[in-house]
Amino acid sequence: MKRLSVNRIAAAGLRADQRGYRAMAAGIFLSIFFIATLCQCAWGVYVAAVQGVRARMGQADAFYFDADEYSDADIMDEGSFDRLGHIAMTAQAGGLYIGSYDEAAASIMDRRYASGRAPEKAGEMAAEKSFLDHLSIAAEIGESFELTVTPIDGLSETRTYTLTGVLAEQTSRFDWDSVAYFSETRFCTLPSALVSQEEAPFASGRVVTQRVMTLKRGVSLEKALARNFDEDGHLTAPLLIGLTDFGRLTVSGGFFSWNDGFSDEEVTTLFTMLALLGGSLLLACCVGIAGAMEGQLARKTKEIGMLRAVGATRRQIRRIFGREAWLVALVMAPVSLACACLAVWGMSRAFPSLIAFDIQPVILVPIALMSVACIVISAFVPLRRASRTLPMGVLRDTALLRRMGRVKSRSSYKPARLIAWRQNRLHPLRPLGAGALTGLMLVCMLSALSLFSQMSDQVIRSNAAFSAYFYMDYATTNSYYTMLPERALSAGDIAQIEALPGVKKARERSAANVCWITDSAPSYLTNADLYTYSYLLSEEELLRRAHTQDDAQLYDYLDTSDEGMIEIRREAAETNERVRRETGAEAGEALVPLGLMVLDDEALRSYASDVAEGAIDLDAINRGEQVLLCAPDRYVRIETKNGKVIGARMSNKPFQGATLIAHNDGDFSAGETLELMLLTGPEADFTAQSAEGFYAGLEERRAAVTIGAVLNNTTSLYGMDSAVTLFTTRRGLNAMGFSMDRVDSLDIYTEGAMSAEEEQALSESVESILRRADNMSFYDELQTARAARQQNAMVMTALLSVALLFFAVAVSMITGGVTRRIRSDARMIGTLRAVGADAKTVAGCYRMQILLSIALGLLVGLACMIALLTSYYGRAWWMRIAAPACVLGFSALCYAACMLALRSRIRETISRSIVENIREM
Amino acid sequence: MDIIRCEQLSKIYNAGEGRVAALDGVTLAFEKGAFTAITGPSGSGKSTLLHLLGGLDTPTSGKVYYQDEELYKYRDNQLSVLRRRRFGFVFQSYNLVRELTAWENILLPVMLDHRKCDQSYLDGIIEILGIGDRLSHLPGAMSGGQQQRVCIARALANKPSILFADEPTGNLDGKSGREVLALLKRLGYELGITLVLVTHDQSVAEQAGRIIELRDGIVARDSGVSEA
Repeated sequence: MKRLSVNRIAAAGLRADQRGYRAMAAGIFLSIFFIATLCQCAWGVYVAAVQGVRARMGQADAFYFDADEYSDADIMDEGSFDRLGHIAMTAQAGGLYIGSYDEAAASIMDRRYASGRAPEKAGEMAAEKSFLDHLSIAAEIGESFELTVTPIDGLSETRTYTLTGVLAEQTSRFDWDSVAYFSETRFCTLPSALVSQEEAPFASGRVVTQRVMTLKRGVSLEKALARNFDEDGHLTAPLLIGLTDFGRLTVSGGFFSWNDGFSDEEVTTLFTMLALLGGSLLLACCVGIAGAMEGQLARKTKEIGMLRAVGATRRQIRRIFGREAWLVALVMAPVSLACACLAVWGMSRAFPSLIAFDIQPVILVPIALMSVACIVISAFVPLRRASRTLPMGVLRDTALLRRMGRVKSRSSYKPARLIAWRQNRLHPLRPLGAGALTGLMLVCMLSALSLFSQMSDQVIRSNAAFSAYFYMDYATTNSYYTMLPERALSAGDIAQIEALPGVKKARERSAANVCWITDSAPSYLTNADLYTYSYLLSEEELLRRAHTQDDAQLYDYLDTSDEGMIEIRREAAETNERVRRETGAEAGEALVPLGLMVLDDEALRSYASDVAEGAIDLDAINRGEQVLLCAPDRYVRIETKNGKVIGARMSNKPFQGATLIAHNDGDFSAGETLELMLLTGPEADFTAQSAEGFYAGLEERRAAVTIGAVLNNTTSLYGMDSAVTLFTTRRGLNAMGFSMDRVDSLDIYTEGAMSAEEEQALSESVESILRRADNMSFYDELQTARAARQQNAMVMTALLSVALLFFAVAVSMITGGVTRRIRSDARMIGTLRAVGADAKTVAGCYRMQILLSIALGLLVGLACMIALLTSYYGRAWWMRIAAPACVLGFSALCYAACMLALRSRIRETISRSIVENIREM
Repeated sequence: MDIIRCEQLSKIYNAGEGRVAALDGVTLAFEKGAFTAITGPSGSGKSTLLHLLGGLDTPTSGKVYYQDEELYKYRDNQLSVLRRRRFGFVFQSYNLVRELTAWENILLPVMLDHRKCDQSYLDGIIEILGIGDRLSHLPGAMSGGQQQRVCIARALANKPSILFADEPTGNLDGKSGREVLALLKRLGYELGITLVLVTHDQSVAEQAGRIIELRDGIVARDSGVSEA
């Protein structure tokens, strides 16, 4: 005779009631599936992130830039690195560098070629596409071209090169500004173009050596970086620039993002999202397993009671029925693992840059551990409860009585409602799991809706009147003068941009500082901007105004103590005096710096509604006879917390709690003539500003213009520091004799929706035109919006999928719970039917459980909805309809699905005879 | 006048190796207001007959007529209405709803029928049954005898035409059994209810006006029919 073991009893139990174990099997399958998918996804994201960095930067872990004082031996002896390569930087062309790798560097940097090959002999060159485009080199591979290059610290030479290959972009993706900021005067660049090591040296200049290293196994970047600092945090070696796993630059604890690809935040966000999703799904599964287990054990209470009666201990009961769960898990584990692998594989195919499919045995260990933990935790409570079953008989009614206390009888009641109510009192936690899941479903739906709102916002922005591109000329100015770059964007360039396909118009926006020569500066200026115009007031008056006006906190970057303000006034007065002296202003004349904005006709016309006095006469403005002057009412509110000033907010529009600090009470009026002076010169030089005679050396232009209209609007804060802003057009500026061949920024408006390819082509064309100007910075807002839209679309799809998944799981959990109850309540149902209850009444007994679960979720959903509607993205009118519709609609859908399932279960139950139901027990 | 009758009533179970005829072509009629006992050994088909007469199960073949209307032609809802208005059931294992108190259990058929209870009528029944002090108790807090009495009160709550009782004294001790039986007889007589009672206890059966004995699913003896 075979020995009776726990396994054998458990297996027999499983065989006898396969149908009953389906819910538990599904719960276990889903939990292992989610755990495995979550872990593999997280690993896949990590691998993809690292692969992404490696694809861009090879195996490089750290760099020493231009650090000749440090020898190779010093670096290697330090013990952090195992490989070291040299990159020789020889020359630059158009701000981009040319260099060559030694063998180790070539191997570490792992430069890939989009086409062609590496340069092998003198006179050959391979370059990144951005290098070729920037320098307008049209040569094909194999063709020669002439290039004027400037050796580092040397004199320009023109050489002929043969193009051997086009390099995959690498250097252009490095955040040079951040590195340069930290490494002071060192040449912290990498080559965008490569030449052979055999290339003949230049006649002048020097070769800068950049060293690239890979970390030893087991040495972290943080440790390597830390070794370059002493205990007080002072740098003891040339600055070491490191690359983190996810591709960030790290310099002595400061982090800088890549220009593209992952950032640590994104990876962290992704991990957090994965953890949240996986965690909530896991929780749902645990609740599901626990529910299934409880249902299963509830049906076996007689059996458990019998086992207890024949002497089984609590531990044995737990072992027998716990083993059943383990046997189910044993069967489901390989299936769910395989499904998880398939799911991750699918995801990696759909989002190759986001997730890599990389199955590692090391990942399977946490999966196994988490699965075990999940099943143990889920099964523990029901098993514990089951093992406490009284040996003789199953006194559930007694237990019920004990838990409910004395019940007050009712003389009139609705049977379904009363039974449901009492059952819910007995098991108040029953609807919790499914309710939480329904809530999560609604939260996911609302998040998707919020993302959709963001996306539509971006769509509107990129298709309507918003700048698609932004051009900024970093011409340096202070309040008194305006510098001009050598090469500026010309009217022809702008016309060329406007002629590009897909461009509706290009609107320029430039600003200049002009000086207003006046006998008496109006008080509006000092009211509106106490500090810029502090020299117009006496010390006593300044301090009195600062104290009474209470706007001392507006400029938190300034020292606003009495001493500080006196110092500010002294410096401002000194500068003003110097400009007056060097430009030969007459005694008694005040020199007031004002902002002058150059906009197009259309922009000026749009200010018509802001006119406080006078009228906008564009002809007069374009003739240089008139300007518009904006002197808005200014309001301020000091933000305090517990009596402590924590900041201030300034606006040109009244807002709650704000006080009016400046009002143009006839200080400026239409028809008034302003005598203006423009001080201008070539490319700015910071150091020159302090040199005596600097202002005298600038070109001085003067013009007398009339104020055509006084505006009272918010525009004066639009890129200008001064309180009073003058407006004119480009033609008006030229007519005033202030001809300034400089465009500060250019907003390019697109015709409407474009395909990604069209947008890309337009971006490239615009950028190539903008490169003609010095110091240009190109910000492709269209591309940024597109990337954000793509990312949002991806997240939205994920959220919707998760919401649907939650929906399915919530419905199945609710219906599963109800089904289990219906099955265990077969006798009660039979009794009810025997005494004349119809199917509707029987269903009514279970409707409350469904309603409670959904109501719980609905509460969560409504809270989330209110939060969303009060947020920025909830302000769109359609959100006020869509968000409630989404919450109520999905809840209703959930209810309908559950009721359908309930009806079918009830129909199934009552299709059996009443006798069968009663006898089942 | 017959209140309920059955013709050629059969119930066949397909269990395991072969078919088992729980009831095999039984034809019977029950007179209004009569007290009939159905007896027989275990497995003779007594309970099956009772269930089929009460519309709790479906026959394999044959027909049941309640007041000349064929019972199993009714739709499920119509049958439910009939059960709660015209029939009363007393089960051997009481079958009280555990979430409801004794009083609520008694009221169940009335509440299911969306009617107001006849308080004086129910008070009378409760008094006869002697469960007045147990009305606010849940079934789990009552003894078998008390539960059986609640079950009887529930069966009578709607003033049924027929009361079907399946071994109503089976779970009770001798004294309680006798009391319950006496109650049923008294109530049946006072309220004019047709009483169909299943029992394997000969002493219980002998108190009935008519005894039907079943053996292997067929009527072996019917005291209501002349031996001729």
